[in-house]
Amino acid sequence: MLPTPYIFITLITLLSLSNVTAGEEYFNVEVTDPFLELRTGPGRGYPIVDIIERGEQIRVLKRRTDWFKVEINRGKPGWTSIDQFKTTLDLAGEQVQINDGKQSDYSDRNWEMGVMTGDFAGARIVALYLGYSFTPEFSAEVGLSQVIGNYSSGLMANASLLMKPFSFWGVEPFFMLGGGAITTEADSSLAGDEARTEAAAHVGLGLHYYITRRFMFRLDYKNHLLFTDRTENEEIDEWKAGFAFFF
Amino acid sequence: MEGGIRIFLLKLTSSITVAMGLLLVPQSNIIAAGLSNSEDEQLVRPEITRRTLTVEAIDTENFEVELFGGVISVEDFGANPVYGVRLAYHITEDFFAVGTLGQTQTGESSYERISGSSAKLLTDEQRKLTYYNFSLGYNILPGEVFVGGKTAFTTQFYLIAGIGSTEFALGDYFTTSFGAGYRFLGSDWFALHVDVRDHIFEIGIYESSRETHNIEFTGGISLFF
Repeated sequence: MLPTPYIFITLITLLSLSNVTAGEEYFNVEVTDPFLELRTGPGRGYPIVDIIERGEQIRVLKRRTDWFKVEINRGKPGWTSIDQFKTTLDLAGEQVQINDGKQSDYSDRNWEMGVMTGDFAGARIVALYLGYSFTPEFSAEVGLSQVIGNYSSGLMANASLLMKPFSFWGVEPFFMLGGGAITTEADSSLAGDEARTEAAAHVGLGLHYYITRRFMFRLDYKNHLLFTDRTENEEIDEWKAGFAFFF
Repeated sequence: MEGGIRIFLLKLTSSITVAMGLLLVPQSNIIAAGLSNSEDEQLVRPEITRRTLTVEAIDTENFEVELFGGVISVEDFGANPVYGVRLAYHITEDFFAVGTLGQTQTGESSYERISGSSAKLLTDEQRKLTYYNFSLGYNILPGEVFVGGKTAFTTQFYLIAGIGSTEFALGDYFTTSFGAGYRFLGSDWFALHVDVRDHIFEIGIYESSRETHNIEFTGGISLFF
């Protein structure tokens, strides 16, 4: 079964995370570099078409990834890189404070999102997760996974709390604890087996590894305990690896 | 009697006011003289209430939502119209993450066509193919195109790969997808896309499983927000 409503909910959540526009008001900064290069597009591959000299005030129209669209009263708007932008001064004369996605931001990250795949009791699993770090050591996550077996498929939603005691050279081990629910349904070629939903709890461990910019690698293991109607509860091992980014 | 007292009080008050005014004038001259010695010549400084907005006020536009349509060839089930939606998050100028949801109604397999109307392998509901995937895109060739002598538009050619699942026929199949696309930015906030993807999954309908390659060709329009 395809998790259309769940993906929809995830999309809506993502939409609400994007920043709200500031209307007609723009952020203004003063150039302190000898000159600021303006490119035609938000990337280093686009040509430089104009420069703004030191001391001039510029209006910041928008940001896309690490590029800022700016304009002054004369001339056309253009895009400038974060490396040049972060040396500018705001109107209070302070250097602008901007998150530029370096390793220091990795340890101080708040939001992260990732996709992983792996093994769930012999079946293939595809998982999407969204996490929020309250402190560098402590975070919470919600995840949605689809389990794709040969004769059945399942959908799992869960929430976890993560403890990240330390980070060393970009390697960040973690322990997690959480719970959720799993719905399992047999493929339509097999008759008689109806979909069943079971509550589950899990413990797990894993690690994050900082790759570059806003990216990290993630590996985790979870041991699920399914609370079944049968005489014995079921234990399931889950192994996954994937990539995540923080924002 | 009362009127006389009132007039007296009024005169008294006004004379005190005048006296205080005369006393204060030389004092304010002294203050002004003191100030003129400092760098600032102005007695009254203009109070400008500058609105300093913080960096949070900068409108970040890293999300892109796209509606697309085109043709998908589902191996042995014909080429059929496909449509769907994509949501992208631009992580850096090079990389972007995309979630895609797509759907098509497939036709008859070659076996069904040869054996005639009596031998249907799948119901209409089973013939519907829905897929989702999570992909990572890489803007490998950023560029510009020129329309006429004065107008230039930015473009990006990107490579993309992802994992996901396809629901078709009798079950769900783990799917990997690879492809490339071209993004034409009409302005900062909207773009046109042309994409090609290969969706690869193993499927077995009353036979042993085999790997299928399902090529999709789509066009789309997207908005940045």
